[in-house]
Amino acid sequence: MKKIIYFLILTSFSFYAQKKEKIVFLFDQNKDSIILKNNYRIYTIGNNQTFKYSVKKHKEINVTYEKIKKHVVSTHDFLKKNKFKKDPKYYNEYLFYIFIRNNYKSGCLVEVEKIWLVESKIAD
Amino acid sequence: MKNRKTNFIKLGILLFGISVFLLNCQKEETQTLNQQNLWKVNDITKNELDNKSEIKSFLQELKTKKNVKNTSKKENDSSYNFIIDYSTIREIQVENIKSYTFKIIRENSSKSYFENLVIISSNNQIQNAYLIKYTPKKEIVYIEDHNTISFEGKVNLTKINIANVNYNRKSTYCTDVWVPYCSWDYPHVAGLDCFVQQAIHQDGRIYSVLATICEDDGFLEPPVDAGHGGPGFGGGPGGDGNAVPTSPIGITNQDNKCEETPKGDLNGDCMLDYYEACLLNGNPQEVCDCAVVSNDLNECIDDYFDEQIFVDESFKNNTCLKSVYDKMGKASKFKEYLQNFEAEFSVAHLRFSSSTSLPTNTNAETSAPQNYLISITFNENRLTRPSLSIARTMINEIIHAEIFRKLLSVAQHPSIQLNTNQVLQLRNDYPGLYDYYMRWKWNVPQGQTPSSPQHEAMAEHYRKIIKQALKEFDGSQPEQIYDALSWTGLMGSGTFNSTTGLYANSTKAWINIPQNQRLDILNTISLFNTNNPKCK
Repeated sequence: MKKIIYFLILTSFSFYAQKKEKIVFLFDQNKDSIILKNNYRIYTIGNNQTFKYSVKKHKEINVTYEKIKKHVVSTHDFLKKNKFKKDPKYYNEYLFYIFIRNNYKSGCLVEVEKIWLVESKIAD
Repeated sequence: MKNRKTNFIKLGILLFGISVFLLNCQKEETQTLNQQNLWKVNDITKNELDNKSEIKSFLQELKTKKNVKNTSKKENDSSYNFIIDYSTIREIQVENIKSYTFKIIRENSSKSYFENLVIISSNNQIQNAYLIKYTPKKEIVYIEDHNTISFEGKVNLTKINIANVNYNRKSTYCTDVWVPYCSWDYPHVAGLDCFVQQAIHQDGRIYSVLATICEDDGFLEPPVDAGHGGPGFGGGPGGDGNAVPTSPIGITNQDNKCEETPKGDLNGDCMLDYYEACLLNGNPQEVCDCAVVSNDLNECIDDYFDEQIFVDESFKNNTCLKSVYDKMGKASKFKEYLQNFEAEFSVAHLRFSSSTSLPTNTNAETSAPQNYLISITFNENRLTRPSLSIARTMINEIIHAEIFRKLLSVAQHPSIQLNTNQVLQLRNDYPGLYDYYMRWKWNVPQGQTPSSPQHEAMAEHYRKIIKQALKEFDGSQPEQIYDALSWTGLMGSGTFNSTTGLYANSTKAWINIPQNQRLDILNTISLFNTNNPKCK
């Protein structure tokens, strides 16, 4: 009986240990940008942080700000929090979302993944 | 002891309960999303279409049949005589049904109607295919922002017998067709942007119109109260699995006048002809020239892309660029880089061209891969330099192309978009590139605008290679010239300070050179360019 109880507890804790932390970045219409492509969108937010929404892979949903506010963090604070993690692997520890405000109460929550882009052209 | 055991059980049940509760929340959210995404509409590229093997082979078969039919004298031959315009390929998914809609162009197309080819696929198998002819009752308005049109008018349908590609004209055939409309501003056929906006705003702007279309009869119009049914899709397509989801693609103008010229309309006739549509679709001019003559775009593309390196006519016709390129091709270092693009299974294509519209202070530019194609464009207004200086530009650009090729090999995508795992792979496969991109692009502190990562890496590690290539091109110069020329383009960017020899965003390697040496190098380059014969 004791073993079963320990197994149950360990399973539960291991489930929580694997769960990724949700991070929501707020989209600032004055500073941030979206590139629209056929099957995906690229969001550039904060200090040139780029995230990709793929139509076939990600979801988007209308939510109230109240529902997501506990997950909201600025890109600056996010990078500061992880500044000692030099390995970009740490991005795999999170689930990223971008919140695009429609009005003062609600907006569109877009599931995204972190991507790294290179310069579109190099002039000599 | 017994109490402790009971507490453990309670704790276990509680944690298990919370887990189940959380999982349920996630599932509910997904269901809501699935309902909202009943229609999925995308404008896809030709390359993406080619990845859909069933569509590709169907189109190939259609082309083959068309060719066979063209040689015969049967009555309905003219039905086959069309060209598919791949500039807009609309993919609509409703549950497990996907439709692909293309505009088709005929040699003697009437301006009073336009035609679409619609292919229906399910589980990667072609289910049906139709030719749909739209004859507008009201003038069509092109809505550029949404890449779509208004449409109200008569619709005729011809079913293609997919088992043996042929046109089924033996009996009158009717089918239901679902067309998504958008109520934003005024009713028009929903373009891709409408779906994006609907996803963001959830304001019920999209609704679908069901029309029964027969071979010789059918009418399509948006209802008056369209789009006011609240969120979701008013009268959505879910009920009838047999209806064809499609969206009219095409623009006609009976008066041959337009307020705004359509994008890609080169001759200003307000319509895209075959050649214009070909160019607009991103095909090289050579491909479109070939297609106009042969009437077979796919074959022209195949022939063209059998080559991995493309040299545009603009480049070939420039005697300076052509002569430097030919001579560089004999130099082993340049050849070595070029060969990376010649390999049969190279991940990238390379294109050389020239232009007169680059910025005045730009010698050349190399574009990151688009659809696996890396483009090097030379500024024709910056060729009044010695051949060795042009050769220096050429080797610099080919190194940029090589770096992009390596990045593309990791990205596994037609353009370079690296996800976390690919960035980690980049670190393993090309640690130097990873390091430079991390330091000079991806991990740059807010507010800083440093030099480019590729220029930083090249200034530090590639100058020996540049010097070697230059010596192979022309070995008659003193070492000092090769050394100075190898710095060109790798000093930095931004405002130049002639006192210090530094740029606003100088490369680290250039900053590390003592000031007197920097000024000597700049002087050597200037004298070399002034005192030597110009490239012809």
